[in-house]
Amino acid sequence: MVFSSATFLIVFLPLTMALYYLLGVKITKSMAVKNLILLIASLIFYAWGEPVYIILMLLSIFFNFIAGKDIEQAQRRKDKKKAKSVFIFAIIFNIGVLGFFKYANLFISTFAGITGLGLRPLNLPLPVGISFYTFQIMSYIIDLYKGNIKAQKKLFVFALYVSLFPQLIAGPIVKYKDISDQLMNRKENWASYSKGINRFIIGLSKKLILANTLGSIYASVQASGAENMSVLTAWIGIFCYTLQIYFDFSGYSDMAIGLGGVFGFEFCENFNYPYIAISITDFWRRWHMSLSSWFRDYVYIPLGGNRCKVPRVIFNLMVVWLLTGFWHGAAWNFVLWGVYYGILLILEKYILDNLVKKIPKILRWFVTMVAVMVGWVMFSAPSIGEAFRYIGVMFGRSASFADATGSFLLTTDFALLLIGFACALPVYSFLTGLLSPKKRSRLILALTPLLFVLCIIFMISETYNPFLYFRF
Amino acid sequence: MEKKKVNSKNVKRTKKSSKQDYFVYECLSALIVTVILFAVSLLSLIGKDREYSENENRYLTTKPQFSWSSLMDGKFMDDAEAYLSDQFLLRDKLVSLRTDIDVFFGKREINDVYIGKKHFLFEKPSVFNEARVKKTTDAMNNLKAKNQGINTYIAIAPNSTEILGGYLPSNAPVPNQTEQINKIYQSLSGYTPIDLCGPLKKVQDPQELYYRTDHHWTSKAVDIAYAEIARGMGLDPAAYQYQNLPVTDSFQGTLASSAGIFSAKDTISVPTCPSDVMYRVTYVDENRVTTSVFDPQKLNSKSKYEVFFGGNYSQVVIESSSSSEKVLMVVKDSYANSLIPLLIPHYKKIIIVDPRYYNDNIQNIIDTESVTDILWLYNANTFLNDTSIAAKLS
Repeated sequence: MVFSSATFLIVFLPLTMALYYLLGVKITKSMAVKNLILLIASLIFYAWGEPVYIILMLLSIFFNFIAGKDIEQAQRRKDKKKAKSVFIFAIIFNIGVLGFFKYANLFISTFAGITGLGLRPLNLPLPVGISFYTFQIMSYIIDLYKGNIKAQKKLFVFALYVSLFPQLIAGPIVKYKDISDQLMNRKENWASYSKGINRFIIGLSKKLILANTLGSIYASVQASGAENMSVLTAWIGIFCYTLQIYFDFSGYSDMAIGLGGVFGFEFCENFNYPYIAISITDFWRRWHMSLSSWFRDYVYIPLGGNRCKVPRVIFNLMVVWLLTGFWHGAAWNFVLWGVYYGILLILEKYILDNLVKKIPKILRWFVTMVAVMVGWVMFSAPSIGEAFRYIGVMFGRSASFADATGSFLLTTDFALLLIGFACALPVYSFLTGLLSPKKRSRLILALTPLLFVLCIIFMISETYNPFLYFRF
Repeated sequence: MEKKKVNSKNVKRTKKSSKQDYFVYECLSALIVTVILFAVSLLSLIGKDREYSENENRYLTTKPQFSWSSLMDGKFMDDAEAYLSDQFLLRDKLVSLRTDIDVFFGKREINDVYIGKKHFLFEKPSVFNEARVKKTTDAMNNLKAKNQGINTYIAIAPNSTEILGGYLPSNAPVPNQTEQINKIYQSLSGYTPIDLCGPLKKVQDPQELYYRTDHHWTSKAVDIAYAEIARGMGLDPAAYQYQNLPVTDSFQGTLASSAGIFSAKDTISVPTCPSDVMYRVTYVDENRVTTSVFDPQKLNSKSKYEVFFGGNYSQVVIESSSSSEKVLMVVKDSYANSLIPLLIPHYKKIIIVDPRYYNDNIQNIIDTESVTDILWLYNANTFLNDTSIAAKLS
């Protein structure tokens, strides 16, 4: 199930909220009941989209719960060897499951392509959210082994941690150590509820009003093929995608954080206006922060981080970025995208650092945005070859600079591009900062309900599906 | 020093109260959203289901039937989602609101429909795919080579984007269809081309030539095209004096449906029948015979343009009491449906073939029916997109 669907908004969410607050908060006032309601809701939420793969998730939960207990028990008995072997086994299990379901197809078809063997890919569909929940589980196992946390004693609370529906399928990646207290002890109140609802609507609007609309423009540009594209069209297209992926992803995180708030949780932030970044390093401090911090804590620092000699630091960075790229999808263009960022970050760190400081900020921002947009071409292209053709068009390898398609897009979608651009930058908080506090608070009263109604309009109208007599 | 302290205390207090004020309004807006959420949910559950959507011209999804197999393969979930959104409160209103919002913010292309000026909607023109067109014209040249003795004519009608340029949204990318059509004519050998672009472009008030809500041409355009085709094929247009009579003024065609814009209605007219010629219409594959090329029942349906011949059929034969000895084969798309009635008095027999639905080789008809003339009658968009001609001729 996704948040921007009729099933979620009409049936699932109201029902879960009503049960949680009536049965959990008002009548029984019991943490166990509240958690049980959330767990059942989360399992239904997942099963609704993955009626088969929910078994995989349950197995993974069960296995890691036992592994966690074993590690703790071994450590208590000072049996370091056993703790280590269980830990390594658990990590291999988790990476193995993720690797098999996410990457087997890619490896088999690439291997077959190179060797010319007629191997058939498995064509397993990717279980939704597996990249997210596996990383959450691994944060639990690693922190447990390192002694940062205690093992969760109750299976159903551990299951709730893994499957908690607000952040289950698209993050933020919440580390167990950050949320373990809230699982056992949290207090719902008006502040977190109303903040959560407002945040949820912001996220829903990002997804339904902005991301989907911008996405359809990029899709039409991409469909026309790089060989027929003018420079202008290519830039409009990738600009739309740049905004789309931000609104899509950060919108989902907003919805997750908002829904968390509705049920009394406080999740970590995941985005902080990435498109105002003035360097690539800055960008990655603002984009998908929970993933970067996961890789920092569990890969980069264990490898030695930057407290080593330069060649080793470069190696560490490349490992992290290769993995980051790969994590985003089982295709080689994601790897290219990760390596691209790895190289840019290393360049920034060792070569450009002093040079860049002399350049005016606005120029640094501009160059950063161009680099990010080029990155999104690699990210979104169907293949590496297509990505390079598209980038070629952006930088002039095209028959025309501006054609009718480009100028039509620009005239008819100008308002949308402008609104999207403004929403991706902190323009709203700047403008409302100019208002008196009183007016600012009145504004939210009008804005959120209006956005919600707009979301409903956009959600329903997207299903408009006229049947045209095909015999014409 | 003292004063400063007091001041900062005051600032703190107003800051605190404005924060509290903000909090109150945040709660209020969350409350309103919650009320809307639950209201929408409850109303969706008690609302009565609609079976058919006039605007979308389709049956809406009804309550999904539960079964374990549909649950396991996810069909139940898809059906439930379709059901909830299909039966959503005020669905049609929400859709038209959305289109209004889009158009307000400048959008002029929805679902491959250009939203033009003065309520004119345009079908987004087809692209000229050299390879695809070559396949079609090669096949047509082959056919001609095999049937040298038969007079073969081709008339490709331009679409509204070519004739009503002034009504297009600003900057809309449209190809030059006159050039495209001439290019097609040039690649055909042995075909007598009939130019429809020139005469249609000369018309004083071109807004009468195409429907505003549909991708077809009107009877007014057909009049002009008929005159051109008659001249090109050596027929005497004076032999058939007819009038166009309006039969409906509430036509909202495919473009209105695609875009979801129902702000205008069109009038459809049909020509009066020839007074001295009787005829019989046979729908070959359907095994149906009638005495009229019109199907008035279609005027009560959504697809009112189908009043001509009741729509498109693979093969339709018209036999008339005309004194002519000639047999005409028309290979066509739906543009021809409104023009063919005017050709009836000029031929003993007219065989209409629509390659998109005709599943046999066209040569067979030519051989068995002793065809004397062939007319290819298409509109540019359909011809450029067509792959069935090449398939049915080879």
